Amino acid sequence: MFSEIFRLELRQQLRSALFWLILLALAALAFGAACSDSIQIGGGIGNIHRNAPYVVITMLAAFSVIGIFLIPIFVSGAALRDFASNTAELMFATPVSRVGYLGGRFVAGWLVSVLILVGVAIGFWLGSFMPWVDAARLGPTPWVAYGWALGVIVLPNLFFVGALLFLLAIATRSMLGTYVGVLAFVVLVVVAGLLMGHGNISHQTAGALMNPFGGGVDLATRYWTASDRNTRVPELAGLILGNRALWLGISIMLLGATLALFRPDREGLRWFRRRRRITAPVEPATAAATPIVLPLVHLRSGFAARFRQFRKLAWFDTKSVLGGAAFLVMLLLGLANLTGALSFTGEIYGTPVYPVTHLMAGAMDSNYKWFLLIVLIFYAGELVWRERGAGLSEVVDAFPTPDWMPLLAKVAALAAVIVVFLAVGSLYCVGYQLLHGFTHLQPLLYLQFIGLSLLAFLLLGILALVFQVWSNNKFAGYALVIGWLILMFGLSQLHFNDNIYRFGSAPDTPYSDMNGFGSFWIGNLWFRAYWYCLATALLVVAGLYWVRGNVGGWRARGRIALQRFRAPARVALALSLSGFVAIGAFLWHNTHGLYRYTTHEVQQKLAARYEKDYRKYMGMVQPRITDVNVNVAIHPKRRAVDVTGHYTLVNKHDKPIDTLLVQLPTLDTRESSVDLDFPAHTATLADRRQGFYLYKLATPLAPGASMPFTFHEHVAYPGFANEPAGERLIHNGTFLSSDAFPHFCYDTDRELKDNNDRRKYGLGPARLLPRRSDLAARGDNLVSCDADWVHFQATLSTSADQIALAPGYLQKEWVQGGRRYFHYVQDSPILDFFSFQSARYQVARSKWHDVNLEVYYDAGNAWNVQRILKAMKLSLDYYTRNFGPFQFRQLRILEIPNYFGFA
Amino acid sequence: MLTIRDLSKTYPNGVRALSDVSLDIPNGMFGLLGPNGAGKSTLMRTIATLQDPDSGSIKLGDIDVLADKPATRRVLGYLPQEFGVYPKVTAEAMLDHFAVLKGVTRRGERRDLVDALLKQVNLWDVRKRKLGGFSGGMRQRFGIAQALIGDPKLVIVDEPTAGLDPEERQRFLNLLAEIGERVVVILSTHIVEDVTELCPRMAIIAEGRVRLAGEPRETIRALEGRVWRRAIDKNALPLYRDRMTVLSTRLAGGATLIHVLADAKPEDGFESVSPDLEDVYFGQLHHAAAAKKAA
Ligand SMILES: Nc1ncnc2c1ncn2[C@@H]1O[C@H](COP(=O)(O)OP(=O)(O)OP(=O)(O)O)[C@@H](O)[C@H]1O
Ligand SMILES: [Mg+2]
Repeated sequence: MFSEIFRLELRQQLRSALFWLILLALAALAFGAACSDSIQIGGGIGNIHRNAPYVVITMLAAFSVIGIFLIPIFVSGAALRDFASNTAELMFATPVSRVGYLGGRFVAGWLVSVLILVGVAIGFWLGSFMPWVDAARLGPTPWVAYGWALGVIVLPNLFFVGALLFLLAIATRSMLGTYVGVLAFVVLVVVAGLLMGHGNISHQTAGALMNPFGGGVDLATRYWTASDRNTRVPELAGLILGNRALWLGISIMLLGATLALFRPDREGLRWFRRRRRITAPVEPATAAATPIVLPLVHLRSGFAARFRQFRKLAWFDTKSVLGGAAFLVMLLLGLANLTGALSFTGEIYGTPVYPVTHLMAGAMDSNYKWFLLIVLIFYAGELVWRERGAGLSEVVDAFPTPDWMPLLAKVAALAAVIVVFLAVGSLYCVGYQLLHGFTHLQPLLYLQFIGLSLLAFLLLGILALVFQVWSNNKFAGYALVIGWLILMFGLSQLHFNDNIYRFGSAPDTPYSDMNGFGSFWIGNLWFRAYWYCLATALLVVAGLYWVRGNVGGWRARGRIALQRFRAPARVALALSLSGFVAIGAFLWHNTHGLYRYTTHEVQQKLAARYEKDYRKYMGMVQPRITDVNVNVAIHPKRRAVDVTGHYTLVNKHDKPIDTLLVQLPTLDTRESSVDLDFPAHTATLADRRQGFYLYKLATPLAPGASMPFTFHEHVAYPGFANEPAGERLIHNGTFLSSDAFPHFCYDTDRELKDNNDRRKYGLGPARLLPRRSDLAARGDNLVSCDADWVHFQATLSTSADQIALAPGYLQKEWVQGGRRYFHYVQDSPILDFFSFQSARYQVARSKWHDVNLEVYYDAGNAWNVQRILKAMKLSLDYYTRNFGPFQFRQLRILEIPNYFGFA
Repeated sequence: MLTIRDLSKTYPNGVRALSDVSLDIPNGMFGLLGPNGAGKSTLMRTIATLQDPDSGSIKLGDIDVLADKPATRRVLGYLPQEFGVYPKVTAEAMLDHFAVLKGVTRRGERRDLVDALLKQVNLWDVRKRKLGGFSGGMRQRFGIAQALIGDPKLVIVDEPTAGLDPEERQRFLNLLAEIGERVVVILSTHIVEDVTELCPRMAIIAEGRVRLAGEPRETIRALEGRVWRRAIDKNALPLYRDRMTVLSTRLAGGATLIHVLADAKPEDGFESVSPDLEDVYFGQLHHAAAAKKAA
């Protein structure tokens, strides 16, 4: 009996396209991990071989974790097959034994999952033989590790997950119950991971035992050297053995429970029987004596009627999702996860911070929204198959609703679901804020975040719907969406990041309380418009292929699609496609015309070329900057700046200098130019792309002599780039630095850092920091390679509503031509590193002895100004007492937007 | 008046479900008889715009059913042979939903209509119950209510009485007959009696072909004096089958009763019976089988 059922089940599983699809997708991923740098699974980095035993084990372990999303399909699919296909009553009427039935199904489902992992191992193994793989990064094929990983990690892992989900599937008789199981399980693993992360050693042990995926391995190999990782396989002892034994035992218990709970009958398991007042069965028709006359009604099909029908359908579908268990489960899990995230959001490096709205939104981004992803993918399938699943399609398909309506209603339903999900999360965050006594609520900002996310998620929802309609097979639809997500992930791993070909993607919209969304939302919305045009076109085509009635086969669907392809569909398709192309051209003009889109590959090549071509000029004798006088005109609205700078360069060496090395900034925006003006010279090398120039001076600069050097720099950030560009030059909170001025040395920061990257481009190993005895290196200070102390003064101008700041004491402030001017002079020499700020600042002033204390802050962020002033005073007290006197007469603290990883 | 001409349909799996079906169906009840797999549902689905034939045409008055599906759907009431429900929705809400889809978008109108329909199919008392808790017959009645929304001109009901208790069946058939006075009602069934009693016109289909179309009484009259009955021994049945056209066999009180079609008394022991529609039906099937064997 067992073998009969087992063989039947196995044959069914192996025949399904889904199995092969998943097998191939994962094997391809493993293949890529073995032979490309872009996919990193298992940790074959640095000195560790790509196919080191350690890598093989972690890689296969990682894939067995991915497996938890696949096992529901195979194991639970096997458990639920008879219920799904309504053959349960037939099956249970046969004299199949419980053990034979369950065992056959389970073992087959489990074996199929194992086969997938074997496919992964084979993919990885094949990948390590690819000719382009650097032989230096390969060791001998670690057969033992493959065997160890499969035997110790993969088989038991899948066994456990399989047993858990099999139990859930049998007990709940629903795929949903099983998905809930997956999630509960993920939570378990996350908790174990958190415990592992704790410093406390006893927690680590508990965590290692608790992690059903063989947590002990991590602990056992934690302190392994690269050479250990290249040769050794962990011993099957101690925590690893304990962990495996524990979970194997639990798995067997789960299977035992399944066996005990399994009820081969129609009702299935009842966890609780609801006590209800017993309603009498309906009275057998006491036929109404008087015949009933149906009232006369009008059937309408005008615009208003269509709209009402659409609204009704959309609401009906929305309700079905909102009331769906999967939705509620995801919502609750999301909120639970969000709660955890929020408790961390309240601190930055241990310092409590106000729960401001954008922090709440950040927590939702990272810990809440991906549940929505699952909701969308799942319900896209549910909704498309809703009528057919319920067996109602023949009824509703015969109603006089237009062909496009059901699909569009489902799009609307998904949109509503997204809004509800995000709104619930936002309200939850508001609750959290209020609970913490934080009453500065920003409902409008929440709405903006919701709107931006809605635009992003709905595109995914539409794609999922379209896949479902096209494939006309629920599981193939799911597989397509998942395949697409994997593809997107793979593309970003391979650094194919141009939004122009990544469906649905758009530049980020970084937010700061100072600058809001700045002008970053513009590019985002244009890209969304672009993708919505394509999504509309896809929907039109999906609408043509929408199955209505009893049509099977592509041929028949194609014929119907052709019939439906009349004027309205044609116009819609033509409009959306031409919108797509037109907006696409506009986007291209912005992201590739106004900006330079440099792929990762090209960036690396440039860096390698830079080092190869110009490293030889490092340490070349150059004059040093002694005086800086700049005129900086900031145009916040236009996001532009014009700088005129005057340097004085002095030859501090004992030999004349005949060649000047000039390094200019290389920016992404094409609206950037630098004109130089200095004594007679000829260019001997001009590399615009790298910004690297060599000028032969007509008269060499004698030792001790000085020369003027003037530059005019213009930079602007018009339109938008593929990713937010120019975060330093914005509407409110400009924060420029002297990095972007011309300099006179080879820039070591541009070199490739990673040794594997360097080897790829034929560069030697990365250089270590110079030795302490290296006098040439000691000739430079921390921030500059072409200056020591400099005299500095600056004239800044900005729009009338902003204050512009630079180092130095304010000499004069005036208004001219509707712009505000500031002249700063630093009367003592300083390091050659300055920043220039401009924003609508408020100023709080105070004094500490004769030092002016000033805090420049945004009106919306007046939170801690007094504390900052107090801290400044206390600090000055402490530092002057313990270290030395304060050398300046002012101390200013300025707020900058939180676009940067520092403050 | 529904006019069907040369309708043919072959499923992708090679089953020829309809071949050259031509029928003229006037207002009134029209019965479709045929064995399982004859193509009744296929025909009805095709008329109900849910499926395209390979060839042929269907006209309802001046509506070309196959070309102008929206127009057809506006005047159609269709009850499929099998249908499900959303288990968590109440009968009233579901019917209301359907009424909107049908085009009854005025709320007041719709409420009156839904109430009346629920009363008509005797589901008024359970209107607030979820459909998931309905019995098979109650569900069927709900399906009937749904098919009557919006005063359809063409009512297609596929085995509507399956699962109904005798009383409900009667009620429903009466209702149909009443509706049938004004519009085209196509009814498929396996209960030959229903057709005899209710349908002024009928057709018998087998293996996708129309075997016979006409008025039941007329077709019965054609067999007058040609149907013979005899009680025989069970084991002798093959012999009879070889020698004569056995229409039907029936076990009655231990003996096997057979009906035989013959122009004259086939043998001693046979007695003449007045034919009924069942005899017509079996006669046609017999023809079909014989034709097939000959081919
Ligand atoms: N979707 C389909 N795909 C392939 N073959 C089909 C399909 N639907 C029906 N058939 C076949 O077409 C033939 C006619 O089927 P149909 O459902 O029309 O018969 P029916 O007369 O309604 O039978 P019943 O009395 O059992 O309901 C049958 O042989 C059936 O197997
Ligand atoms: Mg049928």
